[in-house]
Amino acid sequence: MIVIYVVRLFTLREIFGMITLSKLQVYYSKIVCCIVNVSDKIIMRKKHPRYPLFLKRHIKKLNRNNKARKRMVKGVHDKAQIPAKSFDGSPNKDHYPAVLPTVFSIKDNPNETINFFNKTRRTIMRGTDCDLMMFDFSNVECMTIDALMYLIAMIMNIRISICTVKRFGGNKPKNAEVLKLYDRSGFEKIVTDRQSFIKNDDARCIMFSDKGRPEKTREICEYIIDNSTFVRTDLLFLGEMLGELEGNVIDHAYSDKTNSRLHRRWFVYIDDSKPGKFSFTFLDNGLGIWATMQKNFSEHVKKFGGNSADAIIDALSGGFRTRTKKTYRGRGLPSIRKHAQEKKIQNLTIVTSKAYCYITEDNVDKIDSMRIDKSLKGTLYYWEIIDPNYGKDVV
Amino acid sequence: MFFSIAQEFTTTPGLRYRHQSEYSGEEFREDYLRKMYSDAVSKGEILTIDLDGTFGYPDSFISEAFGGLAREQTNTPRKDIIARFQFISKDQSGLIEKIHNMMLNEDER
Repeated sequence: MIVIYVVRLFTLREIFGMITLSKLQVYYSKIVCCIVNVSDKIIMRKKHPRYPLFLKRHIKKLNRNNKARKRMVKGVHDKAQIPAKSFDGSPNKDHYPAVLPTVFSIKDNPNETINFFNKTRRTIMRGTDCDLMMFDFSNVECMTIDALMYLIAMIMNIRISICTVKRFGGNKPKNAEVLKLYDRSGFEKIVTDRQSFIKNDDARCIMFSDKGRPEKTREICEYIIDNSTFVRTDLLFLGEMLGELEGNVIDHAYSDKTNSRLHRRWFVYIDDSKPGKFSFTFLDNGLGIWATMQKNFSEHVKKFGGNSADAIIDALSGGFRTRTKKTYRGRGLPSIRKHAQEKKIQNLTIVTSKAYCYITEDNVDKIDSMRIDKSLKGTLYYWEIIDPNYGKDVV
Repeated sequence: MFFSIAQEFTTTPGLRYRHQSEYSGEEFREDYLRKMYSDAVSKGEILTIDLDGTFGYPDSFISEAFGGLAREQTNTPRKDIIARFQFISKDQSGLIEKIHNMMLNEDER
């Protein structure tokens, strides 16, 4: 009994010793003077003597934040003078204007074009009040399909994101050649279709899917066979190559958790505007090869000179770079390079992250590379297939 | 035993796994190749696979179908598995060698 009483006394003493009267006074004053808001911000009570000063400062802060938000919404595109009209014709007062670079091409003008994509994406994801996004194509004087495909991929991802922009519009290009490519690509059809992006079966338009589509590969091969002197056995490598690229996109390109909301889509376009030449553009806007490949220690640490271009050259040359760490994986990129070395494909170009790698016709054994300033989210492949017998009489 | 991929399976072989595409290597191995191989072993016959007539084989298809079969048969030496097969490929030179390599050298890490 005595022992219990001593322990109890000690505990009570200790408690009272910790919380002194002066401390209790401080706590009380804090509790009385402040109330905690829902958003965990401490707001002063109206009766507090410092309340007027607090209110003045608080309003100043709110105004400052609003101004910053408005500046952010306008972004770098505040020079745009686009009439408010969406692709489907509905009038809109509130829109987000985006002016495209004059040379709109990842392949030919990577820095400016990638910068445009990154800034647009960043601005939208930070939040705007606009529900319509306008793309001003009117000043574009040179355009390649890769940039247009990337724009479509970005639009698709914006739609499934939580941001307010859900509709898209803009001006058509003024330049005749750019307009021709713009119309042929099916850009408007894809962008205005609110229901589904999956269906696009025209072999001459931009094709896309979120699964491997071997039957599309057959359609592409048959289309080339119909418009060239190639026979089926000449194009077996193309089936292999497209299959590998599709597999890479589905397996690796979007495998990070942060990208789990995005559709694992790949896009392909065949340009046959020049006779006897078929130009292929294949891209995804996932994480990119650099982000998904297995890296060594120095590559993990940028200060040690980790270079995405060198790593991609290594992967193309057959280095063990597969993240799966299985010896029977990671054969896709070396096989693509092999096709270039065997001259089945020409002018192979790969752009991903800050790497721009290409193989020229002059020296097919060498992979040239350059480092670009802006990082491309995703991977772009470009190659050409040239029909050597085009225009000749083949028996 | 004889099996033509183009006539009895598809002219457009797909990717590695079922969830990736139709006509995948996994589908071919699980639904066709495994059964044909075990039949051939039990009857003591050679399994002839005709690879011609397609629009190309992605490496991942071959790796999963034929390499996958070799990886499954843990109790049989790889050379014996290869000896059970005869491949026909007039369309694409080097394809048979590639399949043999994948069956011989592929290992789980």
